[in-house]
Amino acid sequence: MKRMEIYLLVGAIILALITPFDLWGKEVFDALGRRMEVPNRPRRIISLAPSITEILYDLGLEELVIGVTRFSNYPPRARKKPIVGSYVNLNIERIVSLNPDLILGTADGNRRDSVERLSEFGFPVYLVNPKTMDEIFGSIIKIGDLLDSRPRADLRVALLRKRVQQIREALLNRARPRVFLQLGLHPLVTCGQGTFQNSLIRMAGGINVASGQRIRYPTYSIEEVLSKRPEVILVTSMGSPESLTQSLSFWHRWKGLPAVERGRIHLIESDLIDRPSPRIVRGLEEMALLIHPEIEEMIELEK
Amino acid sequence: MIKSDQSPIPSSLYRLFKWSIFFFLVLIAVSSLSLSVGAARLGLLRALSGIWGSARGLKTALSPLEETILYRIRLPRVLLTGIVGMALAVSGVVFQALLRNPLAEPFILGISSGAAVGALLATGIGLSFIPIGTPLAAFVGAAFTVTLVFFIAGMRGRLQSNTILLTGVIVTAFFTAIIMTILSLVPDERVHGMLFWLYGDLTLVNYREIFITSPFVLIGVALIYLKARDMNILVTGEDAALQLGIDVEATKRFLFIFASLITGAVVSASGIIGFVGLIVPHLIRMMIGSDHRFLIPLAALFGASFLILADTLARIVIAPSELPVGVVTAAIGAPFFIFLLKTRGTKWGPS
Repeated sequence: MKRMEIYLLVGAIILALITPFDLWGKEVFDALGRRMEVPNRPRRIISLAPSITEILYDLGLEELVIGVTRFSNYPPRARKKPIVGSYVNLNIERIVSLNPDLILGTADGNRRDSVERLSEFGFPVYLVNPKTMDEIFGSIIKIGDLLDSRPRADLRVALLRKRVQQIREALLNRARPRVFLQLGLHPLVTCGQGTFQNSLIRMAGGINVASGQRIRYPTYSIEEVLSKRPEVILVTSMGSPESLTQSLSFWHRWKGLPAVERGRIHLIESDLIDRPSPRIVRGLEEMALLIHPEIEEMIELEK
Repeated sequence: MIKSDQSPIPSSLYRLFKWSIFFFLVLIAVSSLSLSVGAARLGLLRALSGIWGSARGLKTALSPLEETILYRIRLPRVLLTGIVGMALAVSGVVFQALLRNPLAEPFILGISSGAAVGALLATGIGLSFIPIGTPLAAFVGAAFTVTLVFFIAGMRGRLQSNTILLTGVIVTAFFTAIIMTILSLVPDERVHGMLFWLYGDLTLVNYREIFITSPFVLIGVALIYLKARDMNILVTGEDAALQLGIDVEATKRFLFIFASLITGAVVSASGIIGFVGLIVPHLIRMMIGSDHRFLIPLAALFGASFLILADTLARIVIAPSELPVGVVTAAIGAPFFIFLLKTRGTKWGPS
């Protein structure tokens, strides 16, 4: 009899451990005001954008991620997760078959029609829509909230804010050089108003020569660049190692440009400045150092 | 040759029946294949036994997840793809007869682009919230384009291939300009969806689209079939048709309207998918001949199979991502088109 009781007790404890405490979900609204029901502690998450994968890994939630998009290349081990298509071309069947309990996407990267289709299957599809550094931090906190990891998210964001503050202080009262950020070479594409890159240049102590552009990613003629006389040209890598040499040989044809005369053409990794993820702060630091190499002594970089 | 095909009813009916069975079996086989291919591990046997079981009202061995994948992702996609392939093949047959040129086809003539402009404008001004607003706008775009093509190319007489192709190129260039303008005006987050749709997108099919599209297509194809005999005579020349007591203008108008209608309906559902209306009718002609009483139903059946097969390929080639199905049909269709242009010119039927 005694033995029976022990069995029962052990059984009850096991049952208690495996029964989720949270039987009901919570009602949330995403960045677009879409209403949905999300489990209190989601356990099977699909990320629909590389930036979201980075946020999830940064929050230490790697084991909850059951699917990522094709270009989720950071951290490198994220590549080992099942791929659900690229973020503009999602494989709906793959996503459904993985049976997620939460799908995280971005409002301006993922196709709205794919998002609606996934919602029809009853999956909560939570979209973030960060446009500025502050909103990126906000989206990290929201994702932390959603995934029962608020303390960790707060901690990470506080650290990121400290690094931003450090840059801000180092750049106080410094002259702002004119910067041309080259996102594409053929044709020349740069960033206008309302883009991360535009605000990054400002925060990194420069002036974006294209900041007056209403089009978010305008194509520039070389004539416009020459007339704006940038003092620094930042070349984004766009995933190809030879882009700097190609760009250098292009720019060296225009000797009159201040940036060319002073040898101020630098490479910056595009993933660091176009993903609304924690690494955007690393992008800010690198950009600030490229525009203002003199501040190197004043700031401490995280390894 | 066309005359000789118009044999007495019984034997030709038997022949139609025989070929219909053949192409119906092909359609079943291709559909089964398509139902069993996908990112989820749900193979041929399970998929078929699932469908067979539920068709007989049995409780199936499929898990709820597998049922979702089969009935809400794969099945609607196969159904709509079949409807689209059917419509494109039949409208190819009609335009080839009307222009009396074997290279005519809704995509090459620019009619699909015209329908796309109609559908995009409808989406842009919010007509898409009315259930059949988009297909009707696409129909208007298609009908407008058909009128334009005939205005440029001229209505009477057998058209030279050069004229047809040039007309198509010009019309398509014009509509591409309009499409690019619309694309640069819509917000960024909608551009991706529209771009995929433009190249033929069947990834987001649901039953609502099937209910909207299939009545247009099934009724349109049936009505076009009623004119099969008249089309046989039309392709031999309008004078001959007039002498045989056919109201040529009325028949042509009737065929324009319904070919535009089915083209518009499927373009609004699936975007621009080229060359189906070229490949399918020609293969049928090579096998069976140019009698429209065979050509229309068999092209409808085979068009469905062909597009379902192309869509299956589109899903496999770069899995887990998918190609737009229009890429696959163009990859097969463009070489086929050049082959036709080089070997056949404006000749009809099996050599």
